[in-house]
Amino acid sequence: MNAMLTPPSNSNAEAQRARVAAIPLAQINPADPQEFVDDTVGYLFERLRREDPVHRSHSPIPGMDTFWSVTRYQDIMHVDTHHDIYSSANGITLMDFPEGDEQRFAMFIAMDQPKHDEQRKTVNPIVAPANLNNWHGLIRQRTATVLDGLPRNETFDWVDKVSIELTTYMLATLFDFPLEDRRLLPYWSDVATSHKLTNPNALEPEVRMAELRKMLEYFTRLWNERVNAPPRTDLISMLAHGAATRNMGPLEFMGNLALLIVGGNDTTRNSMTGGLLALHNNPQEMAKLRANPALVESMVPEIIRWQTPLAYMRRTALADTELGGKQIRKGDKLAMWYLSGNRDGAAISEPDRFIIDRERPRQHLSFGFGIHRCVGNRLAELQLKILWEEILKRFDSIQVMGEPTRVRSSFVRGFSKLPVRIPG
Amino acid sequence: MNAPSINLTVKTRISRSGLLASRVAYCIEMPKVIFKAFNGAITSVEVPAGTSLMRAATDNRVAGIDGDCGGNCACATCHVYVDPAWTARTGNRTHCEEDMLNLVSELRENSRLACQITLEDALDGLTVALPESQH
Repeated sequence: MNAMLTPPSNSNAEAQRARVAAIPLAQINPADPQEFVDDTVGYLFERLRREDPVHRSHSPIPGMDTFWSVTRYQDIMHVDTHHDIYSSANGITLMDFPEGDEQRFAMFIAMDQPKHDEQRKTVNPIVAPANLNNWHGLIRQRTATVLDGLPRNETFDWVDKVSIELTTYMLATLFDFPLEDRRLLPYWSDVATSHKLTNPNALEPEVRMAELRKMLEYFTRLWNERVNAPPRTDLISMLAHGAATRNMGPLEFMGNLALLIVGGNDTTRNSMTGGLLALHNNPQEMAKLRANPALVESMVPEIIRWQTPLAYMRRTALADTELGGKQIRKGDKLAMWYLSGNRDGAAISEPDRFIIDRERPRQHLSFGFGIHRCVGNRLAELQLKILWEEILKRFDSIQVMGEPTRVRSSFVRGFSKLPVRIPG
Repeated sequence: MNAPSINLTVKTRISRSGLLASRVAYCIEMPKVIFKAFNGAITSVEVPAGTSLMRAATDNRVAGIDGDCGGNCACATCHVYVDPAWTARTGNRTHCEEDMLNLVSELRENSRLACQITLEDALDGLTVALPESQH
């Protein structure tokens, strides 16, 4: 049978609200990966924004422990823009790994000023306007090739054949990475972001580190080639020649690579899948888009808000302070739940609706705000824009054939499978 | 949205005859600002005094200024180059602005974030140029 997926029903939402209402407030933990697998975490946030917007949360996962959940848009904006009080130097995810367990890499997203600013400035030019213009044609050409190669009249996995393929191509282009090996990039990204403590399917820690060492060796080889050649416009060459980055140690190099691979991979990939699913679940928006393809421009930021591919960023308080009426102690960790802020009706009108032509669609939290704001935001938007322009040119319909499989993570909000079928 | 600011000025003086004369003046101050797009196109808008330069652009749909963070000095998507004739009057960058300008490409001495400049009468006629694209 070729039955398409039915959009979510209101009765399901009511059942979820009843379930969440019955949980004692103190036990609400939005970082429970199961809530992400089931895509029900939004109901927890709905209650927290109303009843306890800065919420002391406890996770049973060792290393995650106790943290503050910041759920309202304005409070998140406050934390994100006060980097002098809320530090990134203890990492950007809630996991604290045991001493000696080399899970934490030195990456500029997890640094404070001034080192953060220096290293970031080295990679900024890769996403500068001139470079984006250079890539425009190449992205369009590769997107067209991938879409033209898709099967017709049979069910296939959109995540694998489109979302991963396109973002992987893009990363290989950014790094000037050998194209034939490009699938190593999402593999390493998955290895770097999944850990036994949060995901039972993850590799054993020793195997994981061995895989990451292979990644380091591979990139070190590319680094050595480029450091001995004249500067070029790819990212590795930029890092190898940049004054602030050319003396990085191996862990720092690996950390920044992992950052750029995960940053350019797990994010756009999931917006590519999430956008398709959102349009399937909102047929009136799909009809609007077909009637007026120029709406791609405002739809892209709406997809990024709707998906919020990174659900939170962690900060650590450098001093005692107050937030939303709660006493935050020096050393406390906080999760700024972008996913929740992006559904906050006090900041965004009709936040629970996917509206491709909303007013001010760019005012969302998905890229973060302040000095750590996403460095590749414009590139991500460009990739999504081209994808949808090329889809509209080619396909009259893309049918979602079953429920998506969601990633078991409270950090990366994504999909591992989405069965689709293109008639014709 | 900003409502037009209406300044109510009450001027009181003692006249030669010793009588108290009061005059009430209503004035709606609408400083003008000129945006030069990267491609050379010029847009001129008038906004109520007290409006930020960023809002002056976004409320009037001036292309090339995004203002993603809504004026919190947190995104660097309202980057402008202040015409050198005006830099003395627009003043110095704020601390948060210095931090955020690190994110932009093509940083220049006259780079500012438009959300950190408030349009007052003294800035009537302010001219700014826009970069090729925002961060």
